[in-house]
Amino acid sequence: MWFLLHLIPDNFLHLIVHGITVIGIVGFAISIFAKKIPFISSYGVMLGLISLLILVLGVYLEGGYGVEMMWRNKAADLQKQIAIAEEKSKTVNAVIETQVVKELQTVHDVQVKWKEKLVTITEKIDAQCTVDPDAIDLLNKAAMNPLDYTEEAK
Amino acid sequence: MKKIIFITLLLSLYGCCTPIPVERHFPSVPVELKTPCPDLKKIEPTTKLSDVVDTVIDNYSLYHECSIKFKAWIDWYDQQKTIFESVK
Repeated sequence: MWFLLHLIPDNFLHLIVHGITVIGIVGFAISIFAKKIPFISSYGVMLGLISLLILVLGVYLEGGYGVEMMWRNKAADLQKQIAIAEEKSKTVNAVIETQVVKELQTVHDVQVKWKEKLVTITEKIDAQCTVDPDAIDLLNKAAMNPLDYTEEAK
Repeated sequence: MKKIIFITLLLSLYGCCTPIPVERHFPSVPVELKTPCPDLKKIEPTTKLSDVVDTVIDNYSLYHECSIKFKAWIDWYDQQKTIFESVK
């Protein structure tokens, strides 16, 4: 049930652990002077044993608490780093996206430019050359994705 | 007795659900890069060289667009990897 510690707030956990340790110390201190205190003089040994057990438990929990806090701090630090990294990642994406859009637009603009140029020389090149249907067929086959080839295409 | 066994088993299984205090999301990818490269255009049956050149221009543009996306993917991977490795 150690994982349930994650559900307990830091301050409350701190209070419980220190409380147990303090009870153990105080109880043990009282047990030392128990003989001089009326009413509890006969329970000194028992109080001492119980206090010692509580003190051992308190020390054990102090150790566990320290480790728990260490992991919580590490997790919090990691979460902060991740938040920064995610922000950087978004910025990088925005930069790449802008760049890609800009470059695609340039490609499109150049394509338009070449097509306009083609219009001006269409008559000239068509008058000088006739394309054989076999050439068209070959070009179309070459333009196909080789992974999509069928026996028919070959 | 069955209930006790059931609850014990349930609690044992819950022990497997170790809570992960740190959440990390896979970086997203720009929408432009998610579009696959289209197939090259084919030339309609013709004897005019201008029609052939027209399709060739289109296909060159398709190649350049695809090339830009591919370079962007490499760039995206390199930069995201650097960011990923900066978290320690």
